[in-house]
Amino acid sequence: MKRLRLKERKKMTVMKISAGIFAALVVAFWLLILYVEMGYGPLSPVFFVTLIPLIPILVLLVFFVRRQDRAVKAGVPLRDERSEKIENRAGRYAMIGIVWFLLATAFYQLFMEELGLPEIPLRYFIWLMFFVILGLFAGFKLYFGRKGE
Amino acid sequence: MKNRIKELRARHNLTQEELAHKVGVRRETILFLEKGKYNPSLRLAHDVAVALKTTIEELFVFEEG
Repeated sequence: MKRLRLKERKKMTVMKISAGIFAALVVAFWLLILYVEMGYGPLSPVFFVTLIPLIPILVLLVFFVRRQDRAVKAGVPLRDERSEKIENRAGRYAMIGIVWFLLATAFYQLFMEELGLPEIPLRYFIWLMFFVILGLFAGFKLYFGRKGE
Repeated sequence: MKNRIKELRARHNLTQEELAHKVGVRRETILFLEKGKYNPSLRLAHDVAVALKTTIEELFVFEEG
């Protein structure tokens, strides 16, 4: 049991490091896009909409890591067979969701002129896709977690 | 699938948290197991049965069809 706890603590350390790297990458990615955008001329106010999902992602990440850390300290395993099943299923559904999102994007690009819709640069779609994947995975994980299996 | 986990857990004066510790899973897993909303692996079913000093057949009610 003591050995198992030590293993979980080690896993938790790895998770903290991974979460830190992930947060740094998300911020760096946003800064990179900001840099690229600035190269196109004055920044559109629409661009700062991308900050809206960025901040909750970072807050949720801190909340999640802290909650897991408390659980591990209390002796609860980080993952068990049920949470593994849920994560796998959430990943599968998120992938299906992203296919639908890509299809919707393709239709938008095809019919935007006929429907008089504004043109959205491709780089915005890529940025949006990043959040859609994360959002779908987190949403499905939460849903299946509450449902049971 | 119906089961007698809640009944046997109460008989052994164990909380969900304590049973979860014994079998090495999260408390939520025990909660959903008791509700019959989660079908455990054979390994987990065995571990729960051992923790509750019973057998898998006694613990889980397999329904035909």
